[in-house]
Amino acid sequence: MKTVTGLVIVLLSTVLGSLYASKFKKKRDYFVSLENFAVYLKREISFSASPLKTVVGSFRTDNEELAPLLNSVTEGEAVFPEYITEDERGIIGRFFEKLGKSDRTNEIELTSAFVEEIKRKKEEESGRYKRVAALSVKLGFFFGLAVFIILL
Amino acid sequence: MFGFLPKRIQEGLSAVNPDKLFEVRIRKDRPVCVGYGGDTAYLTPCGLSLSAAKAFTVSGDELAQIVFELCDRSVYSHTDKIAKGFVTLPEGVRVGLCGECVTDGERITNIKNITSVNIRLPHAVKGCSDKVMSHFVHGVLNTIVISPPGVGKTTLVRDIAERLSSNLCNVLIADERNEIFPLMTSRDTVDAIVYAPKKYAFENGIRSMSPDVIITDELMGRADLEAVAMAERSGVKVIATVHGVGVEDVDREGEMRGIIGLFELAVVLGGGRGRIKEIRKLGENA
Repeated sequence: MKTVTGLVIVLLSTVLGSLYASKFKKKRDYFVSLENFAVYLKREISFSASPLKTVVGSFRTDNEELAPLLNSVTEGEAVFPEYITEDERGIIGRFFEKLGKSDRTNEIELTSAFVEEIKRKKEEESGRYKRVAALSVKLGFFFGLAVFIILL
Repeated sequence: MFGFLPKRIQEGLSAVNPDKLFEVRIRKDRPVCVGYGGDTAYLTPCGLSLSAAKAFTVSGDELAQIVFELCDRSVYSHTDKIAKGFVTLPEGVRVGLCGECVTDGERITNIKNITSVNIRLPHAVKGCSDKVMSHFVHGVLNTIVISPPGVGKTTLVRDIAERLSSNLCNVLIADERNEIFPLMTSRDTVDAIVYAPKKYAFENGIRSMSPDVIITDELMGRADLEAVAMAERSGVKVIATVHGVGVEDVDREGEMRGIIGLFELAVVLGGGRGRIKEIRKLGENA
């Protein structure tokens, strides 16, 4: 009985560890999708000068958490998931606020700078996710194992 | 159509009969004026007034927001048109803009700090080209339509295009400002090249679409006259418009000298919106 309970604890604590890590995965994925959008936006502004509505309407992403932000391009204030910090909200919000108000050359410069900024954020978040994911799963496992040993 | 204007102005305009509304003029910190049935009046919350006292005024910030919304929140996608002084809405409504021109050498690259917006509302007038069409019994003639701005040149050529289309004539619209084509209801045999300079539209249109007739609006400058001459040498008939008050007036001087020699029929509008003042066969006088 003790063995089964111990194994369940190991399993549960490992799952909890990976659940904790998933928050960081979501944030990394958000920045990956945002970078994809920014690159797509820059390309559309450069080559076809398509209006933002058309760009947003034609951009395809599996990341559902990005949709409220993209909709805000044409319909009011930017909306973010809770894991995006105030600083990050400021950077993204300011970009979307300025977007569409200038000529093509300025828009390309603005979007290029944003792509670089988001790329940097994405790399930071990827690194953080890798570290945290590995650590939290290991910690979860070893915590469970420790409890298991104590129980025995 | 007026979705790009502030709500209060939209509400004021909703009290105005749209069939008689021809233009809305918005100037920075000045009362909003409308062209209504041939007259000008101020726009107030209750509709039209001859007194400026209760008229709407629009601040510089509001005007900037109007231009932003007019450009579908994407000014960069309209910069080329803004540099030419207009933006055309999908419905064929031309919105003229005035402000500070940004130049690169002799070329205007943009207009910033917009101070005036003029929304010109087109109206289709079915049958307004009846008198002109009666001269096309034995075939379309190279035709120039002459009038001052806002008298109905575009409306007339649009009606001609529809009539020719219903006679299965292949018509190419060289629509530099996208004002003619969007409002056409009968366009089975009509092709359109929009937002392109006339030289490009004529050359490429003739090569690629083999039109019977090219219809274009507002000839302006030597390059446009050369495009017309090239089309006529190619055996394509041209129906065009030009600003002026009479046949002799437009041919008098400057870059437009020689324009009348390119055409067989002149239609002069004047004395009221859409009124044909004179139709003259030019070959007979030559």
